[in-house]
Amino acid sequence: MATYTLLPLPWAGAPAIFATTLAALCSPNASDPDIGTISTIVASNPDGGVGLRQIGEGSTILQAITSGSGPGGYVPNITFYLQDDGSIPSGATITSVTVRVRVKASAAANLDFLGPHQPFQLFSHGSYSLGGTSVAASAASAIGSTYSFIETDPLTVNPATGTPWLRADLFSDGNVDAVGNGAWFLYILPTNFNNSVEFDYAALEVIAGGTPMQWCYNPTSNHYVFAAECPGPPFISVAPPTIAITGFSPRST
Amino acid sequence: MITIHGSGFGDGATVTFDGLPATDVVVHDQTRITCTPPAHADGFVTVVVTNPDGTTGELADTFVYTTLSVTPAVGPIAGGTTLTLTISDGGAGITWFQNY
Repeated sequence: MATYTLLPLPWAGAPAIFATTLAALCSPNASDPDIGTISTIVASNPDGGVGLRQIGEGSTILQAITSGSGPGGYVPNITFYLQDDGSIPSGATITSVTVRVRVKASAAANLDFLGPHQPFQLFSHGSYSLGGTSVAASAASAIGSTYSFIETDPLTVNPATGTPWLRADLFSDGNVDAVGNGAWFLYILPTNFNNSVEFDYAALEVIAGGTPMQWCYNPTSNHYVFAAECPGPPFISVAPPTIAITGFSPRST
Repeated sequence: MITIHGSGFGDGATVTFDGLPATDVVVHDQTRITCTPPAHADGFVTVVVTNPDGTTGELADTFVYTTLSVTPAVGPIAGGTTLTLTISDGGAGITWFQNY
């Protein structure tokens, strides 16, 4: 059984900018009680495979599935779903998403990434593409005995759609039994998974960055404005207003 | 064009009538929005105001679409024709009051 340690949300101390880690895949063994079906073991791996755990407070992986197997043992694919935990401020504009994988490899490998809803895919050496938009990332630092992070450049748009990120892009829409409905799909396939490349530990983080918004009120004009920064006096920062509709004119009833 | 009265309306708020977007939406202040409702069949609808941060407020079964018809459409210049006003409310069961 793994011991979970919730990491602090890094955006809390950075006004006007946030970057929050939504979830991670970084359990040191395959007996993680939260993941159940993830039991694929990587050969010669003392850590015993991969697992999912939450890393951001409240971030929850709703479901995880693995399938396939290979000679020598490898992690074929993992489908999982993120639950909106509110760590991205309400109404915030998501300006970038970084996908980060934690690996240890015994030989050089190139890793590429695809976006969610396609879904997200990871493959090695560039020789096994599943289609879609890919973002290359170097795996050079993953060579050796220590774990390394390999991450994409900040993705300013969802590679699967080509449009700016929406909150809904990151999270499950509730239809968790179908890949592509808010699912993330991590595909790990070393080109030579028998011998030369060993992924004995994999982790995935989704780091969303952007600009938090706030409510501002102008008591002179009796206006609420939702903005990154209040326009200045007489505007003051206030709590989000609660909408109430009391009637219509001319009266309909 | 109608006016929606209430509170907490933020600049940039949107309005829907049974999910159909209103047009010409103007947030005059946090208590008043004017807009043009979309075309809709007679009857009650739910009106929803959505602020830019995604929060919403709604009022159900209060706003009603009606159709007013007058027959006959034409009559003699001399007058004397009895006019019939028919108001269709889509079965909403509204009680109408006549002012003299």
